[in-house]
Amino acid sequence: MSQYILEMENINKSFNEIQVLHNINLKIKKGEVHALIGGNGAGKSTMMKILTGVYTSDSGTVKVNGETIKISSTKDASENGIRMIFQEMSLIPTLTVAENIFLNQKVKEKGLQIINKKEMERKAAELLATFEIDVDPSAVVNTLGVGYCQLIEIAKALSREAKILVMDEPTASLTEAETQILFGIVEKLKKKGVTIIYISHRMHEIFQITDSITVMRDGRHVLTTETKNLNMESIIEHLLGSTSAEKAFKRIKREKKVTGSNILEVKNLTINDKIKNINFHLKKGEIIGFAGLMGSGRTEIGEAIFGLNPAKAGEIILDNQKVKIKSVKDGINAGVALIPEDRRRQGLVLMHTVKDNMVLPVINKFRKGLAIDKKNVEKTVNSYIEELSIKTDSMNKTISLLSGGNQQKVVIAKWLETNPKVLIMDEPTAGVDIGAKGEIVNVIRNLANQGLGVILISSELAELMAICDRIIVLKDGRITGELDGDLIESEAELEHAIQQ
Amino acid sequence: MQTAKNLVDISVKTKQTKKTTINFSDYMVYIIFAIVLVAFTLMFGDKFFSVNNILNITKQTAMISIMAVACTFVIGAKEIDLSIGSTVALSSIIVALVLQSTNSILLAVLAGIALGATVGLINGMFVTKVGIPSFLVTLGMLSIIKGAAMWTTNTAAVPITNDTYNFIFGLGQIGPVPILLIWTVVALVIGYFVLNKLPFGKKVMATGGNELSAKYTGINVDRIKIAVFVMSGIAASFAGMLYAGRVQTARYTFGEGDELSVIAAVILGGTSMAGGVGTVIGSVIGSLLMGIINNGLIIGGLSISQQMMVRGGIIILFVALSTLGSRRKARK
Repeated sequence: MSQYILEMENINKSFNEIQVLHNINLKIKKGEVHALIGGNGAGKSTMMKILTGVYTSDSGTVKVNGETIKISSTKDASENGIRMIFQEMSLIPTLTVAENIFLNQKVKEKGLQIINKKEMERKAAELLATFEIDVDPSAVVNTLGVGYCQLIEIAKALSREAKILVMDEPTASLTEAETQILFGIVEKLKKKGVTIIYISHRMHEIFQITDSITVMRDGRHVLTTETKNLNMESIIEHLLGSTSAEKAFKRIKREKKVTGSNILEVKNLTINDKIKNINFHLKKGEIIGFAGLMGSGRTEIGEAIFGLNPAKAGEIILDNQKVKIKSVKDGINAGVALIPEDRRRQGLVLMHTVKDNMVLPVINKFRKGLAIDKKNVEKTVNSYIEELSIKTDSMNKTISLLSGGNQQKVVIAKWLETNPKVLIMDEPTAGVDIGAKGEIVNVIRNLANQGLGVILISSELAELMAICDRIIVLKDGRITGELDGDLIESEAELEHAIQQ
Repeated sequence: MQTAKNLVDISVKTKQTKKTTINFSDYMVYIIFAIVLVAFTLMFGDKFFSVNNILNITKQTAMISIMAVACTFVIGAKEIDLSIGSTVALSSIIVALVLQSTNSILLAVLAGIALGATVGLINGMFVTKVGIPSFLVTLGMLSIIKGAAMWTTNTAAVPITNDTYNFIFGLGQIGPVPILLIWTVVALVIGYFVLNKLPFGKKVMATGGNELSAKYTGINVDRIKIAVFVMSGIAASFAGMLYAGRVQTARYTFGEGDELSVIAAVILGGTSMAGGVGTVIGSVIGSLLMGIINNGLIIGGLSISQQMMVRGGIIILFVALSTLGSRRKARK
């Protein structure tokens, strides 16, 4: 018998006559945790969709345990013990945990299928207990946090025997504690002999839990090796190819110290019972970071200043003027812009064009008489496409067809056109490949150099360290510390500050 | 998603092939329109394809077309308005009653418009401020207004004797061109301008395309939604005036079932039920297409019951065609 549980050989796939996978070979050993990494557009998700029967490959073979199998539907994959946990949550929010787990399963082999609710919940509880997921099986899913949903998703995938489990960015929406639970589950599965394919952008996780690693780039296989043979720099090198690895997150000292006047001052801001007495200030041209775990209040503070969920009490002083921000309109008029956390849901209208998305907040300003001045709009959009080097073949291209990094640049352009004094960016590089991350970081630096005050909210500590003049540490709705960007020695130090 | 980058890089090369597919599904309604037009002409000759008959069709479809223009905004904003059919009826009666007592066209028209605007405002308020789905609010409204229309005159018809009114709002002709066609064109031009040239149109489609993102962009989505309901109500009350002018009488039965014809026209015209996408021209073409089919079925000598069945089947077939077209586009 082959030592490989899964061999995908010479896989080719094209969309719209564009080849996205070129003769890919992927071999996974039995019982290992195998990392699959690559930038956006590298083809890793397409590979996994072929494996799980969502797409069919144009050519190539798939072997499980040395035997060639035909995967033409998700059912075929499922019958071969291949399970996938999708990035997009597949749970039905109005059903209970137990109902979700057993949604598409037969109650018994033959005969009339009648659901026994108690029995089902008992089975669910058993399953959840094996993975130490502490959740009531009769709870309705929409009453649970995002992190729990992800764990339940895993339980669902494992409710039938799995030989190969694919996890696509499983920790993207998890808190630190939940991530640890997830890693516990991964360990247990490994002991049971389940093979795991683990897709992630987070290098630390890859070093922590994976045995082998496959790197893909631009639809081609780059290398497969044992994880311990690599380090962060070498992985980044393989990911980026010829482009230099250090470009992405190089720490650059600001040429001159930020000494200007305060552009933003926040005094005793109270948002709810948990997030209160927030005080901080931001100078002209300064970049401050908000570091903290999910639920620390970092997003809520940003949204309060922007006017999306206005603060209950406290003062916001912008450019030495006390302002009342009760709505997004107030926020925009006062000179605040917010790049939201979830680009696809909050930042963009995906079915509309680059142009329409970019001018939406200021569309009223583009009027000549009553009507929109098309020429002026196009001039503005073109100038941003050039300035931020947004890769799109036309401003009339539907924005969902752009890569994550280019979409994010459109969101940035959209808000720059409102002429903000303070730019709040919530996870601006989330779900963006490393190359584009570096570009976005450069854009932020340039904006600050032009005199904008920037608040950067991020889970990527390396990113915060790379560009922030100061980092404010938040925990459970309070500011627990402030660090000088120049004086932070390592990511570990910052991590420590957050975890404290 | 994973292929997005490659698409961006390479799509320049494949631009040509891609363009044709997009065109095909975007213009599905026009293609179907042309096919039906040619088919009926071949089948019925100048019984169908004559200036007179074509103008006749535009007269018959004017009210649906005008309401479809406004409905494009409603469906584009991912809402629905079922109350328009009843608003047509009540508006016609109110206009006739005001004409009867004052003989002032201006007052009558203002009263009709005010009715439509009020209905739209109430619909919009319940949808945005109370948070009831528009399907339910406007379904309830449909019943309330229909009841009101019947109650006002105790189901009696109200004659309109003002000839000027009847000329402007129904019977008139300027040269060979029926005034109802002129009103349709006016509605189309206004609708096109508002949707494509005013910031408001962009905001409506942004609201329908992704409400959350629109909120994060500072768009007052409640106000946008209320506005589209008001537009829809006004268009319906205007259609009611035209119905009344055309037969010189107001009746509570006017507009019955029009809400469904209007929605069908808009969807045929390429506006997405999922919101965010829509064209006013497509909606009017959709309305004309249904008028032509009605006309053809009558010329073809089908009984009313047969007409209904065939019409329903055709609507499903055409919507299926354009949906399959756009789905193929999405998959690519």
